Formats: sequence, structure tokens, C-alpha cells
Amino acid sequence: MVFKLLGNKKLFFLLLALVFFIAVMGLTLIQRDRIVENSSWPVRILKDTVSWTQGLFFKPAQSIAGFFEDVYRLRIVYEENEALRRTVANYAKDRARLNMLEAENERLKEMLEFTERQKEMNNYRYHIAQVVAINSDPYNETIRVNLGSRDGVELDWAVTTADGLIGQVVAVEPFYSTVQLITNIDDRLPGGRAIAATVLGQEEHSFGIIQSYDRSEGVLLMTRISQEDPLKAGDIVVTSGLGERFPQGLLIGVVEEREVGEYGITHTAKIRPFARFNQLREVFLVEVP
Amino acid sequence: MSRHWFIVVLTVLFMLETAVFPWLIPPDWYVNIRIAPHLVLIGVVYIAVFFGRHYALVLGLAFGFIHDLVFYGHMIGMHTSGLGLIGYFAGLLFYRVRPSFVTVQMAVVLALMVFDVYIYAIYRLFNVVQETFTWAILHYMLPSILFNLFFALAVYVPLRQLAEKVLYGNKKED
Repeated sequence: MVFKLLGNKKLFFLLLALVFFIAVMGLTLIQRDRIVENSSWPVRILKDTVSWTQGLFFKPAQSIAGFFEDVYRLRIVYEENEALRRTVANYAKDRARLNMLEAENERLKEMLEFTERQKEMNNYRYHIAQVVAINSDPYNETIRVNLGSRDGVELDWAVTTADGLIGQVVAVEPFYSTVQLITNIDDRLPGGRAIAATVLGQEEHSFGIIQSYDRSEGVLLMTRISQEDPLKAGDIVVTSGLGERFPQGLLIGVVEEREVGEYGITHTAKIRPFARFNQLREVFLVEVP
Repeated sequence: MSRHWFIVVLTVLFMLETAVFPWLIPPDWYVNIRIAPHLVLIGVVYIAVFFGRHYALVLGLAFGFIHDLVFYGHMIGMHTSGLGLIGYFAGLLFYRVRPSFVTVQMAVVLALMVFDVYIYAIYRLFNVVQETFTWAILHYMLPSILFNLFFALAVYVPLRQLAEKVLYGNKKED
């Protein structure tokens, strides 16, 4: 019986195909210490062509979806306007204070003889990019945006929306690039990337590592928070810039609850992200000088 | 008419899947469930049922590979193997000279179920997902299968007409 099965040529080829595909998946599984290199030219041309065509479809779809959303939101637009006016008033006040502090900071840096590179360190440039396609695979959340190496985009740039951090650039072609969302960062993965995070306003005292995303609850898990850490529910979490994977000070989310971690030595916190990960239209790629 | 028109159909389906459908699904649904459109898979199954397993295998492999390359996140090869093999087996099991409506839809439902479980199983194998299988069934698979089935029903008539034109178009002219 077994020999008869093995003698079946089709079955044999099927098994070979399965083995081949599992091997390909294993080999291409992104590794943590992956060698950063540009893809070969046929791949670049293919990906750019596909994304260009996707852009043709995406634009009208976006505008139609936007129209219905606008009609739907017409009712709440007045309240939103009111709230925005209040925010603008606050913003003007803060702006004046910020200008003053910035000038003072500049003067102090001069006095302490900072180098040019150190002065430029926190002066990020935000490149706006439009989303052209969203992956339909439910466990592999990547999007394609219409900025590429021609526009100076490089691997590992952080990506945010107006609300907060959403991901990182994982592949760059001449005209388009691929962004992996932070719903896919998972430290347990071979290619996982953790985000060093801290609390806005107490950067000196708080530290934790955002390690994974809980799909069932929609929260990010921040681990390795020390017991003395003042972090509490309601705090705003930002990137800390340590580890240099993500630049400093990008908004991530708000702490929902804090509890004792797995081994009782450190604490973990659940963080509700500010950004919404569906129906992304415009995103900002963050360039660190 | 040549059956290669179905390459154009698959291209359009791929564009709809990645660039249009994310906008048609209301964002409020995403609170608890996630719908993954598998329009290319539906196209490949229709091709398998109408034209046989070999053509479906080739097109499934090609379009799966494009999908894998363009959205390279975790690994390459999942959509290539999934679309190719499901296309092949759909043709092996359901290919008829003039398939009935029920046969075609049975093939589609079976393919959607197998593909969703396959995606979950492969990602689980490589430790990409940690959620339990029950959770994935309730929040990903069932809504996705229902949604995709509605789409498959919607495009059945035009695709069937196109396929009949390709297969029997010349005879009718005589």
C-alpha cells in the first residue's frame, strides 16, 4: 500500500512542492539580524509597477469612501469645530512658551558647546505619504506608501499618523515603499522589533519595552517596567529613543492598566494606541537627520 | 476569445482586493472582527472549475507570488503555495464540463475555509500568531468566509458568462 502510494508520481510531486514551499517560507522569514540590502532590479520594477496600478484604483475608492464618511460626520462637525477652536487657543499659548524655551535651549546649547550633529538630533523631518494599498492578509499587516528611495526614504524609518506611531519602513523601492504596522511587532518573532518607550513628562523616571500587540484586546503590551516606576493608568506613552530603532518622543498611546508581570519582578502595562490602524490615508515618514 | 482574458480578470481582482476593498468595509466593524478579502482566491477557484486544474495552478502560483513580493512582511511563499495548491485541488475535485451552480459554490466555500485555516496554520507554525484557533475562527475566519462568499455570488454570473464565451463562443457563431 505504502509503496503503491509512493509510486504515484503526482503525490510525490505534491510532497516535494510542500517541502519546497515550507523551506522557502523558513528561509525568507525575516531575521532579527537580517542583512539590510536593496532588492534586485526585477523585484523593484515589479513592485513599483504593481503599486502604481494599485494607486490608480485606490484614489477613486478613497474619495468615494471619504465622501460617505463626510456625510456621516456632518452632524458632529460643529462640536468638533468647537473643540478644535479651544485647542488652537491653547496651542497659541503653548507656542509662545515653546518659542521662549527653544531660544533658551539654543542659548544653553551654545554655551555648552554642542556639536552640529547633537543639535540636529531631535529636529525630525516629516515626509507626508499617501497609502496606495493595504494587505488583505489578516496576520501580516503591511501597507504600501507612495514615497521611495527617489524621495530619500530609507529602511527602518518610523511611520506615524497625526495621532501616533503606526509602524516602520521595511522595504524601499525607487517610487514606493512598504510599511509594517506596529500591530505586527512581536518580540517573540525571529524578526520582531521592540519599541523602547517612556512616559511623556517623566522621561527620566519611566522606562519599558513595547513587545507585542494583543489582537483580541487591541492593546500594545509594555513589559520590563521596574517596580519603582511611577507609570500609572492614564499616562501618555512615547518612544524613548533608546536603542535608536525609533526616534525619541513619538506618541504611541495611553496606559490602560498596569499589573505585575510574568515572574513578579517587573510590571507590564496595557497601552491603547492613539492611532487607528484601519483605513489609513496619509501617513508621515519620520526622517532623523 | 482566449482564456487568457482571465489573467486580466485576476489582475483586476487583485487590485480590488488590496486597493479598493479596504475602503468599502466600514471601519467600525474592526472593533471585534477583521475581514480579509480573498478575491484572487475566488477567481482562481472559478478558473479551476471552468478550465481545469493546470491553468488554475499556474495562475494561482503567479498571482500568489506577486502578492507575497509586494507585501513582504513576515515571509515569502505563503500565498504562492496556498493559491497554487488550492487552485490545483479545486480543479481536481470540482472540474466539470458544464458545472452546476451548486458545484461551483461548494468549491468556493471549501476553498475559502481551507485557505483561512491554511493561513492560520502556517503563521502558527512560524510563531507569527499567538491567538488561539477558536478565537481566530470567531473573529477572522467566519466573517471573512461570509463576506467572500457574498462577493463570489455577486461575480458568479459575469464570470460564468465570460467563461462560456471563452469555451463555447466559437461554436455559437457557426
